[in-house]
Amino acid sequence: MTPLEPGGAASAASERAGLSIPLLCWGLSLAVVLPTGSLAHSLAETPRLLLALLPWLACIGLPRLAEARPQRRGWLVALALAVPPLALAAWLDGRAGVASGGTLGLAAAGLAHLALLGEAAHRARGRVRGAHALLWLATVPGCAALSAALSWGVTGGAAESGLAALLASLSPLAAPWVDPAPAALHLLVSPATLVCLALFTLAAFGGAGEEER
Amino acid sequence: MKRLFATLAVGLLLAGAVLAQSPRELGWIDLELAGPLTSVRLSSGDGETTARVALEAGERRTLAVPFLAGAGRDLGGPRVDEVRAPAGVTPGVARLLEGTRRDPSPWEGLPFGLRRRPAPTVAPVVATPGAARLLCVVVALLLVVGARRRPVWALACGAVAAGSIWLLPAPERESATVRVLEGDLASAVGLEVRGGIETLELPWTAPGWVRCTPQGSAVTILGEEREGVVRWSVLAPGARPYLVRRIEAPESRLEGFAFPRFWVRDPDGGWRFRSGWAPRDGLGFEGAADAPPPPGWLCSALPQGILVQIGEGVDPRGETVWFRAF
Repeated sequence: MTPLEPGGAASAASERAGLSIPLLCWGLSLAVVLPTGSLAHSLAETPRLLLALLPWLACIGLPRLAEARPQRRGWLVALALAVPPLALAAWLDGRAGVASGGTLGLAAAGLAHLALLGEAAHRARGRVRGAHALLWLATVPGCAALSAALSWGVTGGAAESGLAALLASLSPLAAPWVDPAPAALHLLVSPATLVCLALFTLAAFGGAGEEER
Repeated sequence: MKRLFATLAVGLLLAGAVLAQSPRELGWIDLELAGPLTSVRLSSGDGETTARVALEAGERRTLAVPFLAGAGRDLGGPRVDEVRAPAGVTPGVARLLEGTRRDPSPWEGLPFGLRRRPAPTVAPVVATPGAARLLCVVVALLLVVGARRRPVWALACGAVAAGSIWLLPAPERESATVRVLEGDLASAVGLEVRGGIETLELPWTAPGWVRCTPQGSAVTILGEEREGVVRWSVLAPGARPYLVRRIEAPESRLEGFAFPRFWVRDPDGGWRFRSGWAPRDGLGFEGAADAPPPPGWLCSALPQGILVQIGEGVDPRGETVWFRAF
């Protein structure tokens, strides 16, 4: 469908709008991978792969506003945009000696989370769409934000709150940061992966049920 | 009797605290090897040494091997734990040569001020991607946006770009290390300290000590043969290892060194700076008006009221070395 055909202009505009968030994520992930000056030294011992994953994990599974499922899987395009900056971040981590064990494994675990979240957002429809949105909101950004707030609330250098760590482990955004030296296996079997699977299962099977109705 | 036991208990606690702070001793011993073998593993004290040396059947070789003793205590010396050979081949023999063991002098025999010097800071290397890899990322962006109506093709473009980022040739990796020559002006004794992040090459065959931050981290030694020479490395995953060895008359070792930046703190507390200092120049120079401050990590916990010398230099081989003496 070209912009000259009926409905073509709206389709093209919709495509451009659909690309804006992935392009923003691309820019953000590249910005954290390529810091300069004193920021570079401050982040020198932080795994850049985990930093680069953050904007994608936050946005790729965003619940759809429109009821109609798009014909194409836009999240695949977002994933295609994500892969090069993530590969660059993983390469830089390997060069700096950070996360010396299993950088590629961490990248694979992160991509698995992205795929599950993206496909879940694509498949959710009908009443399941609302449930998917609530669950996504409560876990992906919700648990991460609540965990951060609880950590800030611990004063005097006291030991980390167990509840904060539990909430962080539920969110794909925060789970890699719970363990100071995250391993791919630890991330794959973490509660965050179960959350991603739950979102996908809800959308896939609940959405299929909505289609049959 | 109760008072005696209490005193003994306190004494043991203090001794334990002192021993806990003493670094691990790094000794050397000769190892006679007879092939066929591919690697030999030794254990001693609280450390392990692995030498990856390939010898064919009938081939013999004597190798100087470093080993870690217990923290300031001799726990019986090293022993050969394992000799490996290619699959299906009976491994050869590895024998420690008695009488060739070389231990460092007692740590407590060093001047108190030298033993209490804080470990230098090792700044991690900030890796940069290079123009080629950045170009891959940008080209991938354009291709993916162009192929956005065919998501599978877009994904393929992204994957190819990611593969290119990993496969492009990379410059030799820089290792994060720091080297400091510590001098004690009241005696003719000094220390050479080398620090790294997780891995540190062992550049000398002199006995010495190994320290770690955090203390108590697991440390192993690995030797790998390259071009006929076995190069030793100290491995401390998740920690910063430091190698320390005693040097005599450290100031006399500065011949041939160039110091682009050199600072002197007089006993009254005033700092003087000179660029392009050499040992023959002496310390009678005036301070520069717009002198840069001395590096904070070398100035921490300096005692007051005494002469202090700090230098940033380059040794005759071009390696950066720091100098601190007081």
